Amino acid sequence: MRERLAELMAYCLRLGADCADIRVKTIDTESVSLENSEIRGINSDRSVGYGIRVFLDGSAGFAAASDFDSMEKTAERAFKIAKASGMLQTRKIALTPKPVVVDDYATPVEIDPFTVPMSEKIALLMACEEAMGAVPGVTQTSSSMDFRREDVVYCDSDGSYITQKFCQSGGGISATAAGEHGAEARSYPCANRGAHARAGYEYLLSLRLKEHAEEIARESVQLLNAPECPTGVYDLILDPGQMTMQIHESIGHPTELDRVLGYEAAYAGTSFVRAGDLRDGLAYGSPQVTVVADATVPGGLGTFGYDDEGVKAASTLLLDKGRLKNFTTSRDTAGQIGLLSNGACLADGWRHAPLVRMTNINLLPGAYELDELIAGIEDGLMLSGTKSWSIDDKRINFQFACEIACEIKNGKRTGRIFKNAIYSGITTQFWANCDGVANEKYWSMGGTPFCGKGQPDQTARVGHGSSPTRFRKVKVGVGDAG
Amino acid sequence: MLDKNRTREIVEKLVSYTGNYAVVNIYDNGERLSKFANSQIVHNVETEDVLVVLTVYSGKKEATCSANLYDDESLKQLAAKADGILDLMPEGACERFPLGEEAVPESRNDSRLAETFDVEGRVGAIRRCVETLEAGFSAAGIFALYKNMHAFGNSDGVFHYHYADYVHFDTTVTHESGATGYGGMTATRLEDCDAEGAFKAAYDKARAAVNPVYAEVGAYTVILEPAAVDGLLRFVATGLNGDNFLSGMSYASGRLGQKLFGENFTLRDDVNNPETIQCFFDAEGRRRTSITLIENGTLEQVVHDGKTAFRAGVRPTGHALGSARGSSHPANMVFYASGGYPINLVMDGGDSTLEEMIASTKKGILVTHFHYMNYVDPVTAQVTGLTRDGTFLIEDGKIKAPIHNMRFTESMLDAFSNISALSRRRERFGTSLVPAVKIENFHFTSGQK
Ligand SMILES: [Zn+2]
Repeated sequence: MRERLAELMAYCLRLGADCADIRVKTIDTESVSLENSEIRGINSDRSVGYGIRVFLDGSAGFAAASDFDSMEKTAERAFKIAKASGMLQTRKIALTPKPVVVDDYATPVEIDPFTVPMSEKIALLMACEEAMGAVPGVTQTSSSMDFRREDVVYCDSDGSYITQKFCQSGGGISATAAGEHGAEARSYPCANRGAHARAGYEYLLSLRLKEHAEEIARESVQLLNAPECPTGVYDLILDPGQMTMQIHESIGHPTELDRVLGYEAAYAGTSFVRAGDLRDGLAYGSPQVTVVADATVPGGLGTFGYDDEGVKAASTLLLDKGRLKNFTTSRDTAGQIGLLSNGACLADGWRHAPLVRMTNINLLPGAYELDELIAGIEDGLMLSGTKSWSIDDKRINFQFACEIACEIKNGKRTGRIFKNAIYSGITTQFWANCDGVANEKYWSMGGTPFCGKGQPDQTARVGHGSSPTRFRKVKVGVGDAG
Repeated sequence: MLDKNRTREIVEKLVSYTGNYAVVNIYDNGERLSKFANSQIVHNVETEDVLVVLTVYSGKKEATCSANLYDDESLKQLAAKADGILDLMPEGACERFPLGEEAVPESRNDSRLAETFDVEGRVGAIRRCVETLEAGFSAAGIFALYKNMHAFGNSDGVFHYHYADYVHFDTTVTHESGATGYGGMTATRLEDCDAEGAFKAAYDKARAAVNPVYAEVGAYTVILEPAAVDGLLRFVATGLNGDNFLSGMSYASGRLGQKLFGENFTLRDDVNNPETIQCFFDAEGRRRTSITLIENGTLEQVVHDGKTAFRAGVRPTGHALGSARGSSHPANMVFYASGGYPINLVMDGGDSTLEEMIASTKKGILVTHFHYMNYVDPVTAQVTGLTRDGTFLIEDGKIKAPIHNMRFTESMLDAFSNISALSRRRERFGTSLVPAVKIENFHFTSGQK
């Protein structure tokens, strides 16, 4: 493979390209879905192909195909596209330098999920289904597992050649109680097919889905009969599951440099953060808020050896005690603000061109015990389970709904729960009101395998590490009175 | 692009290689997309992706395997893998409505689209647009040509083939002050391709959006342009998915025949309307039918695939979705894969115009389109989202000022019960055809301050 790809890169140069790179990927996925103690779907997919990116006089072209007999033709097509891009290219694309690397990387895996018998996977989920279904009042149960294996070869015309093997495992369970007055769902570890990590089957086992089945089922029934969440201004503690979405939408996306530079203006959107805010160290949040983009943390969904431009995985400080320090960048975008790429340029599969992506955007642990965070709240709520999420195109105004709100009064949990907890805020005001992050004992990696961005639409697998975090004076409810 | 004969051959091979009853879907999605930002090309890509999806059945067991490889050896492997999973499975629960013989019309394709919009054609069209911009304005967006092939076949010898191209252009024009305007167009015929018209609309909006003011949160009369209406309709439609309907996780659950919306709201799924993007069969090989979902506010019908139809004791409507990867769904998994989805949404218009709606509004907000909408609660059909790329305050029948974006949180049941005017003219958005509407008492719940 190596000689063949090196020869193809040389061919791109002979066509007249300034430089070129290629990603060859083989992706296997498997998913198992159960509902109401019945198998609802067993899906297995294999996708093999390659994408060639060609640069010519400051313009780029990308062509992808799965026909390995006509790689030269695909290269010619990418070259032709780069030439056409030149018809409308006032600022020439300039890639920041990077070292030539020959290396390999593999996700550490204890149990290869693709070797675990299907019957075992079904049995595990079936046990969860039955435990949930046995709780009186539960009307619907669902459970799933998803596995993904990627073999990636990166090669470029500078001589880099990198092979990587990624393995992703995860799953989740959900119980719904429906009655005359609506329906309430509880999920574990989180909604939308659960939690995922770059790890083997051992990660799925570590989630202990079955051990949580009865509890969430009971909670769904309790929620159906629970009062509506009160509205007003409250102090909140968000659990790591909800923090995942909070960090993702209101820190991760706004600090992607391509968004800041307007590349996504027509679709995913831009950012309230400007490139110049880096110089001034924009006040993004309180001194409690220190956030890194860390592609090296074990198990993260955004953990790898090298990004899709062949740049080594890094840990970059994005927010230091609340101050803006950096962005997630690619070779093209970093150069525009005088920096080097920090290795956050990723492509979804082989058929897409790489673009700036979050890796693992992690809020570093603070100094608090969870009980201390709770003790500091006179009248507040602890929220878990993302149910709904939305944020504007500049990432200023967000609104989330959670599955469950637990009441906190006079520094203690009262045991009361509420349904339909909705909270909203303005990004920088909200993070400025963050006054406590729980310590590393409570810290865990989470993430989402469904981050959509780009045109064509690409899906990224993004990690987020966090611990329970306290925010003061948050608007709860959607009252529009003022 | 795989032609009819080649896809038929793949189906026949898979049927012969598997030891079980087989259903085969083949997709070949070519994407030719030129993306621009800051008035120049930032991504310019062309991809091919074939997907061969084999589902095998035995008793109540079912397994689906797919791959983008279709040489003889790969097809044998695919069949063996699917059969292997099926053999090791415990008894399943798959009960399907049987598929009968149905005549399916041929899809039409305008081959001039691909000839006109090769890479030079796309970049040239974008350049003609951005060259009209004055200093201080820039544009972003895409010009894309999509080549969609779908073939269906099964062990009973049923075979259907669809191939059609369409183009999509959308753009956001941005003023240096941050003001933005949106315009877009989708076309299946060359004569309907008016990128320059869509661009001009976006440019006019951006110009009008300079120097925005903050509007108070609260209930307003809103005038929604077709792109905004289309955004809301997606959430009305999701509730009409057979799976959501049966699970209780929809505003429609248990409410067939009830008046849920206003008298002037009628919504159909109409594949026979040539203004939509037509494909006459679904992923289960059924003839896609035209159905009335909501008639004068009454919930008439929801869509079903073979499985949810079986559970509901009704006939499938021909709206089955295939493998998520075969569609543009981002999950590459199985989110909406069951229960069907109405993709050819056609909403009845009225007798008004956008101008008349504005002129008759004492105080209101004009919305170009919405961003990042999501259900807050599917059971009450409560949805949230934000305005984007051109939001204007209307006072005394006139546009008074552009405003900063606002978040709405509103039940679709209320919104489509409070329509006070609909435009005669309807526009295509993606696969749907929708009018502009005026809605009373629409709730904006927060702003950007
Ligand atoms: Zn995202």
